[in-house]
Amino acid sequence: MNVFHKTALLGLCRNRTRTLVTITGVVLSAAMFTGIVTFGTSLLQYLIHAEIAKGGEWHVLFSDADPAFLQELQEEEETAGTAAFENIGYALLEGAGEMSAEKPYLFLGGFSDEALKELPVHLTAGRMPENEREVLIPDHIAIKAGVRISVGDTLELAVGERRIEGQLLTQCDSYQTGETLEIKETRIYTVTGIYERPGFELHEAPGYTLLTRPGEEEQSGRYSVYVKLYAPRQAKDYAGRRHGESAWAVNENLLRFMGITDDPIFQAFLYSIGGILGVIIMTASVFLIYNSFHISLNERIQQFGILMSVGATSAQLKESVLFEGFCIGSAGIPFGLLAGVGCVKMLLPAVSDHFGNILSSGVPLKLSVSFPALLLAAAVSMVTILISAWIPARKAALTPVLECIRQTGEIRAEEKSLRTSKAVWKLFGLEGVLAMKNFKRNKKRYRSVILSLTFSMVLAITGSAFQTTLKRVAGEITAQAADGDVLFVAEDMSEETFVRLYKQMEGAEGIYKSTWQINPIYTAMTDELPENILEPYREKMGDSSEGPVQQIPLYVQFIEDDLFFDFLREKGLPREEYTGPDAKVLMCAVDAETHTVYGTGSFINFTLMSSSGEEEKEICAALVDNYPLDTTFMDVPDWIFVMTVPMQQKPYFDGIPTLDGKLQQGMIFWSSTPSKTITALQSLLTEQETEGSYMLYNLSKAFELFRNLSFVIDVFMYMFVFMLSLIAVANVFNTISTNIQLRRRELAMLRSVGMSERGFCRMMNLECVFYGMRTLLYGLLLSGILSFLIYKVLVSIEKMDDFAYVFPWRAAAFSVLGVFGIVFLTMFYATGKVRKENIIDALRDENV
Amino acid sequence: MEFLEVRNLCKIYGKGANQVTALDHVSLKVPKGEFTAIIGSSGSGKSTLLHAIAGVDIPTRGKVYLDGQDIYAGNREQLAVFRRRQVGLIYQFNNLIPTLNVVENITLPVLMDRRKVNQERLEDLLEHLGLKDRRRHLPNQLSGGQQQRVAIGRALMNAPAVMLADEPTGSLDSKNGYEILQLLKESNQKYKQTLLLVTHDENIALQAERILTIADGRVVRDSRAGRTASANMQNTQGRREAGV
Repeated sequence: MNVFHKTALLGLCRNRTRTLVTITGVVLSAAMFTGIVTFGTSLLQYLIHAEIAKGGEWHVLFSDADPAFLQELQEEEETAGTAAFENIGYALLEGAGEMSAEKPYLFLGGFSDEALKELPVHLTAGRMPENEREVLIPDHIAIKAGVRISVGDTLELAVGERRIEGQLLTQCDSYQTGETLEIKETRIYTVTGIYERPGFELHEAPGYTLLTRPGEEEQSGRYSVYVKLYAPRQAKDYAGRRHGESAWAVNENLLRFMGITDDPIFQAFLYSIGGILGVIIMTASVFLIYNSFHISLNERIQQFGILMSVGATSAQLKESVLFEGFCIGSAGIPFGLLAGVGCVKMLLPAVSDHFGNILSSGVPLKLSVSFPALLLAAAVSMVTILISAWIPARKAALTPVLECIRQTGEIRAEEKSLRTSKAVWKLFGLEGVLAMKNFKRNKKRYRSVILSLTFSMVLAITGSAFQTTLKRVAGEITAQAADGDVLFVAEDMSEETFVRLYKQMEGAEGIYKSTWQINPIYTAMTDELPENILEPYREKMGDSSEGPVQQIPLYVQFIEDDLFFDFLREKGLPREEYTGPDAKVLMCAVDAETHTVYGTGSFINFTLMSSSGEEEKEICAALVDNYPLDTTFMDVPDWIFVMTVPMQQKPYFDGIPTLDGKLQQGMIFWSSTPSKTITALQSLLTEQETEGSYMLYNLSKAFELFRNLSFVIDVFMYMFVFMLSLIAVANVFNTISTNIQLRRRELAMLRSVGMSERGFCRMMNLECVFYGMRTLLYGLLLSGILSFLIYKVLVSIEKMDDFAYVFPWRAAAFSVLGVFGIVFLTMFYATGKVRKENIIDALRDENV
Repeated sequence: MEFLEVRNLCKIYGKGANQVTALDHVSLKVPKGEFTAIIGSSGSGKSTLLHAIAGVDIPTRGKVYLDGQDIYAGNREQLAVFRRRQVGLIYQFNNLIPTLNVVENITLPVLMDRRKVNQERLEDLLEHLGLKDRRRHLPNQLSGGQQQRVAIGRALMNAPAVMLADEPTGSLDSKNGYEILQLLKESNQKYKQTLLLVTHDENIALQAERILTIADGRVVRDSRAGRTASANMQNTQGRREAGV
């Protein structure tokens, strides 16, 4: 070890506190970098696995392969595996509206057992098809095209080929105007179940994939082949080389998460987010580390001068400082890496549930440590340290020798730049002037304090502004929240089966509350409808009846007794009138379009009618302004009369025929984890023997997606703000305490000419106030502007009017407290040490 | 009781084997308005004595009375006020506040006291110290002699009862050193201030009315200027006569 290394090491050991603070800074910045990198890789791995669970593990799709080509692909050296299903043909989707203009077909695929093993299929209702006459339909037919096909329905399809100018079109070719469907045959299928939109169906594919089994004799001879490669990076190249006659596509969704994508927007998003995070962390840590090097350099500048005066070259000095940086890096980086990985490991269980709900793939979010990423984090931290060390070293080397020894550069200042206004004199007295002058003199050094504090402040405030604005926007959107999170609707299921299912289903994972109802539609006659209901009703429904007699459909809900009587109490109605054979019922007359309720408070007598027009039952309804539970009717007219009856009254209504001859029943579940509940219910239902048809709906999906996203953003933001604040604290501590150390002599001087303890404290506090004010000035201004921009962007995306901007006062108040807290505590600590010191010792100290 | 009285003053630095006794039971009395020089070799304890009297270096034992008041009897706050009002302290290195200009540095003790600056006195001092055209300059824009004059100005501004100078000419050339000394003497005569001056320069010490010699933390000789010289002569004479 040469003399330079020795002095550098000794210097580190002598200034133990400062060395520790510097190392802590290195640990923090390395941990932050590692944390973000590790979280990123874990998330990416999770997304890859979730995508595989959703759409299967394949990289290239050849949508029109003949058996020979299929075999060729299977035997290919580059191929790690294949999955293929038969392309049976296309049929027109009857009833598809404008919403599905670019996806007008049903696409029939014959899936063998092997294909089903490789390509994931998630049932939501019914069972898998067992032969070539049975079929599964994807749920996006209902969601996207608005066509309702139920389990048990029979489909008669005219199946054929799509062609344009004689050329065969496949699922890889999106819908083109001018293409024709050449019908080959008519096939009849029974729908056995419904499955989630298959992930292996390309987004732009023109046909909804209907899943059936391949028949023995009906071989179309064309296959869709999904190829998994050993080298996914070569996917495009491979497909380009190998495609032959077939159209092809790559699995963009999967490749994107593997970092293989041509999508400029995704790349820009990935790189800009990563870039911004990286730059912020780098800047913050460069500041911290640079600062501590700068300070320790000032302290050693005299020593440098002496070394230079006896012949040390500037290269040797730089090398010595770099060596010091290397030592600090070696001490700090390993801890930083460990801390970063450790933090992510602790954090993942907390956020994994929410991630699970976003993609509802059942894939767990696990810690995934990538060694190249760790290496990168270590390298970046080391480079940061070395740069931070090198800059001040260069500066020292450029300083004339004598100036180093005399240390005159430090206190050089211009009178003009230190001039203070009379107002400061008047407001704060001598202490204020001294504080202001110090603040002005040390502007450069304190810039990093102000900058890092401003940084964390802006982040905290704008982050919270982003959150609250997002929440408010979402709140506006989801204001009309439905009852429950999961809805189960059954049609023509016997009451016995329904009740049995209900008992089993209410115990499913995540459900904390549940209820059920029976929803028949009855026909009723009345001549008691008051004008203020009758007129708008007839107008709305286009009913041309005249006179007081009016026939109406009654949308009935039989609900659980407790629910009914609680509601009754809420409305202040007497319980006894609503029990027994002649009990009254509740009714709500609603214009479903405008959500206007009519006739609240009045009583109307109705006669329930059979379809043949016979009178079945007389009832008296009390009109109320709402109903206790959402009904499960799927298609409701523009005007709806909702009749609410307790379950105990149901026997009195038995035997009354319903309007459409159908009986609908519904269950509503409240769940803390709706996605998981849906999955649990689906698997429960597939095991059950049921008659009739049913559907499961995730009512909370949109809301939950938002809630989870917002949670994830929260976690990211708070983690980031927390880390950055730690760096800021270290930075502030380092700068202020060192600055106070450097001014020991000056402070002792003031005390020797009679500055009292109180005056001293006042001066230091005022100095804090000045830094704090400067930070607040920048911080509040910047965060105000940024949060307004965020608000503008969100509002313009959601196209919302009447949505006022609200400054994030709470976060701002917390930040202000935080800023002053940090500065004051540090100052308190630093001056406490100086204050206890002997004046003469400080005055004599040659080192400062 | 004399105007300034020091009783059994002790100052001990360090502990155990590293223990150093800087002042060893020093007692002395100084009448008001007297110019006293304290001489001694390096490390003899002369500066420590001065600092203890100034209230900046708290003694281990003993008392310092100024005008009958024990300066260390009060709390730190009162001690600070004492330094501000009663003492003018001048160091070898000027110890000015680098962010304040000449006028601000000179008026610092008055400003700390939240009193109005006596402009007449300030102008008088600036004139006297030859700093009239340097009033807005910062310390680093002044020469060493000028900086020391600012320090003297600061010590004189409050018209303190006691002026304590710790080798005030030590860092200056002979011409500047002479001027500074003259300034101190003038002030001592003009304002009847008690002046204690630490030096190791015998020529400077000889200008004082009284010379205290300190060695190993003890006052080993206390002599009036004229008499000291004769006493020395007598001693030499005596030894010669004895044939030594």
